Amino acid sequence: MAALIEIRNMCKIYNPGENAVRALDHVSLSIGENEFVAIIGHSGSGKSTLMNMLGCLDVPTSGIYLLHGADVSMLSDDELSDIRNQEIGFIFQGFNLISNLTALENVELPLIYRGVNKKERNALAKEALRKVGLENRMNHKPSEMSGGQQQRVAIARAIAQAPPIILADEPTGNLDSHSTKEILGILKSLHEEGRTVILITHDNDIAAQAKRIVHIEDGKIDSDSANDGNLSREDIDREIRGESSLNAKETPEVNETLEEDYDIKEPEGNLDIDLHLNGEEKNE
Amino acid sequence: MGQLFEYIKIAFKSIISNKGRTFLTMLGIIIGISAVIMISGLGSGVKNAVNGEMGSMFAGQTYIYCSGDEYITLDDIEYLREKIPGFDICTMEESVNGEAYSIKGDFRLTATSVNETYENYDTNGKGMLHGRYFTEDEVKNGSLVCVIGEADAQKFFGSTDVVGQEMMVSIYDEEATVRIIGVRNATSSALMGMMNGVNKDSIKIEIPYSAVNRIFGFDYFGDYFWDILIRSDNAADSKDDIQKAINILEARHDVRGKDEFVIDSFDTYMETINKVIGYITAFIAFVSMISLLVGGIGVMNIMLVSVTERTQEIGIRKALGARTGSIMVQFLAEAAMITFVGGLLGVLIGYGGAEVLCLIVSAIAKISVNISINPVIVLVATLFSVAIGIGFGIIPARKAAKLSPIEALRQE
Repeated sequence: MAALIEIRNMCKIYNPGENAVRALDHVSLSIGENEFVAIIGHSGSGKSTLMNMLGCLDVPTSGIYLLHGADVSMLSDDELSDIRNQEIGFIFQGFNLISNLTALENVELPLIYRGVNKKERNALAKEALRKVGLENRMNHKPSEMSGGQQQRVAIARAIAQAPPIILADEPTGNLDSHSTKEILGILKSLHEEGRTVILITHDNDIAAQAKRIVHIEDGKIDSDSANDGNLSREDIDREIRGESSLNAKETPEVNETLEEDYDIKEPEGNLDIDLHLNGEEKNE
Repeated sequence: MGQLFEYIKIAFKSIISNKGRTFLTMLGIIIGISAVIMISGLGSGVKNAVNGEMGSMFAGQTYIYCSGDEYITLDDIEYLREKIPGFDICTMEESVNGEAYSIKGDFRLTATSVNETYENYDTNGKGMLHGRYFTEDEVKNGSLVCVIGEADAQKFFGSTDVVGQEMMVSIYDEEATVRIIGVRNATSSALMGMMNGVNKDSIKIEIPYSAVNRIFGFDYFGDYFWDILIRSDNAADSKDDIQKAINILEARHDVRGKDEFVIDSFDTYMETINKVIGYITAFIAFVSMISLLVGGIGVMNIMLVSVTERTQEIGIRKALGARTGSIMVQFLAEAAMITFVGGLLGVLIGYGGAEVLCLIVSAIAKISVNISINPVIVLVATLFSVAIGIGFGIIPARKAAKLSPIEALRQE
């Protein structure tokens, strides 16, 4: 069965010519359904470019992007808009809510562009907001909410249209530790609901929540390994530095810090979040 | 375009969330449209006023004048009156000048020599204030009687109730005493007042042409009238009656088809006046349209700024699945809504402004100018402002729609 996302030999070159920047250099990556993948790397490593490619926000210079087995790398702007609308839920570091719209209206946005009628749209948006525990703040504007709440609105917006893929770009980058836990909890539960969650981050602690960690460096995939749930940030650091050659087959080292660091609190909603990282194998 | 309504709603939300700027953007359109409405309202108001005033007095009034060797005779006039009963005015209208003396001083005098049908001239339906007009007999016999205007009576005698008073006049140094038998109502027309002049030292009377002959002691006018004034009592018959008169005159003078007798109708003057007013109005309206153009450019500029400012919003919308067309429609709808509302406000303000202008013009020119605004102009102005919004909104809307979502999201 074809993977949900299949990238082959993808290159993205900015400023072609003498000062060409190879943001992605022959990257191949395959992500299956219901995976929870963290893409990590320093700034300038190419992870943002990869995220733009995965999110169909940009088209590659060369290479192939198969989504559900269909090539989307050469589609027109409007076709890409439709794919983003139907397949991908975005969560951004800066929340990216529209400031003059209420939480509910923000969540309704992708549904408007999908052409969902008002009644259904309203119901879906309310349901999504309920899921992130914001049913009482539906008519608040973003400026009237805390960062954590705004990000939860953004998550509600991402899931309202029930896309198979959730693409979270540094979702906790602007949040305090309490909100970070909430947001990560929600992402985990989305994964458990069966969605594919792709988390782009430079923070190894955050990445440690994922079941699979893809490290990108200089536009190339440096390592791609399963995370059985017992990795510490030090392990990931080591791995990134190439001192360890962790992979799916190796017995992971047991480390308790994770559970202590991320004893994730259940958010205000009725999310059923598994607070403990289990030792599941990476999805293939 | 099933989603059109949704996009319009989105556009509406964004323009009301920035009321101050929206209003400033509208300002150019408001000024442009209100100027156009104001000018056209005033223009047609003035046109109506002039037409109404002049029309009610002079409509159908026509001079037949002689352009060659033939002159109209007294017999011609009598014959025309006999043959064309539809004429309520059919008279010579010859002015002679002189002086008139009263205890109030000496006045320059203009005596208009006419027959009894001249009663119907310039009455504007008001007729005589005091007394009566000349009878047929008085005209036939050359009675030394006259009719004076209300204002002149006031000037000359210090009163308007002057029927029966006598007036010392000297016409081309021939002195005479004429009795006043009627006082004409002051002309209701300020316009006529202006045209007649308001010279303090001069007065005007109407006098039977035969009385002038009598004052001079000989047939001063002879049989030679350079022109006659005619009017049909029924406007519908006017053209026919005039043509009949021409035919009769040509037949009597045996100059058929030679254009010896020429028509000079008030209606053709009116057409010319209307044309001139129309041209002036159109010209000023055109100039104010230029301000609309400037307003449109203003809308475009603010929209361009707005697109730049809202780059992030556009990026979000595109990331969430908005197509190029959706963004385009949103921004076009914003521009069109701004100019539409601006247009409506412009119409209201223009209407108010036209009222004020009409009041001012009425006060200055002493004619009653009532605002007249054609609903078609209102509709056209409103549609035009929407068209301006769409026209000048295209460039900003395209700019917004073409934004790449990553570029747009990068700006934080």
